[in-house]
Amino acid sequence: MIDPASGPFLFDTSAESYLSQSQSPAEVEWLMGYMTLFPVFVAVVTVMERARGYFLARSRCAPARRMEIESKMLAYIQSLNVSPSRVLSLTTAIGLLSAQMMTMMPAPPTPPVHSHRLSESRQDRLSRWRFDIMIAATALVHNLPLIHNNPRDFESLRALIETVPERFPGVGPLNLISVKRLAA
Amino acid sequence: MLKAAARRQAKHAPSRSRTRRTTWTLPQEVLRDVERFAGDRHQSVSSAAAYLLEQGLRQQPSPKASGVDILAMWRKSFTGLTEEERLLVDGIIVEDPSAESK
Repeated sequence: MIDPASGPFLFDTSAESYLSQSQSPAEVEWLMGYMTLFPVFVAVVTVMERARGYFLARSRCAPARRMEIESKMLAYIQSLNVSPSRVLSLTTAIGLLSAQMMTMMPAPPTPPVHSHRLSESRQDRLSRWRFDIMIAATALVHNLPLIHNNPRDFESLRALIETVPERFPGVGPLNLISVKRLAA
Repeated sequence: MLKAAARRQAKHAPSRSRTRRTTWTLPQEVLRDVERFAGDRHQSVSSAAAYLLEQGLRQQPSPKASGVDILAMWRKSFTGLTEEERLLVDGIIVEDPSAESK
């Protein structure tokens, strides 16, 4: 169990998705407790990833379903505009740090996602990796622990920073918290 | 004539936010930091303190905010999505290769 009072935290796209769908009373209680203490920080890159997903879903669905997808996207946007939500913008420091990480780890640590019917292209996997790097850089620059549900990608970045800290002066370590540990 | 021109100019100038004079008791070290901050920015201490307070307040969760409302919005943004749509809004852009070849 992670003490909500040990925040504030940055919530990765994967953590936000996990908590949005959680049916666990303990996880809901944890989130409610956290929100009375701290803002729900998200990186602007997360907003971009989520919004791109809704736009794509809208473009792919049947015309009759478009309104429903739009209402879901609107609900998400509304959640960003009320306190205690707080979107952290990209800054020069985040850009420089992301560039350093992208140079040192240009390829994603895991292959594209494949299920029985759906698959992710190598190009989309690469862009998702770069988004993850920018989210990690946002956490590092703001000195916020990152709550995530994507251990393999973020652990690779944490290990990179630990291995060559001299390449990341003034930042780090990258503190990671699995969203599944919040209320466990 | 100059006074009249200045009055005309003032009339059309953008209005500054209203201010109120007050007296606060602050820890000396905080006040020293604010004075240093104001000096670095060539601002008055009042302007610098107003800026810092505004920034600090923006970082605070509003006591009126409802976590229940936010969770309800998050849930609405996900409920009823198909597997493919859930992956898309999770940032994973997937395609159905069999659908493409049809």
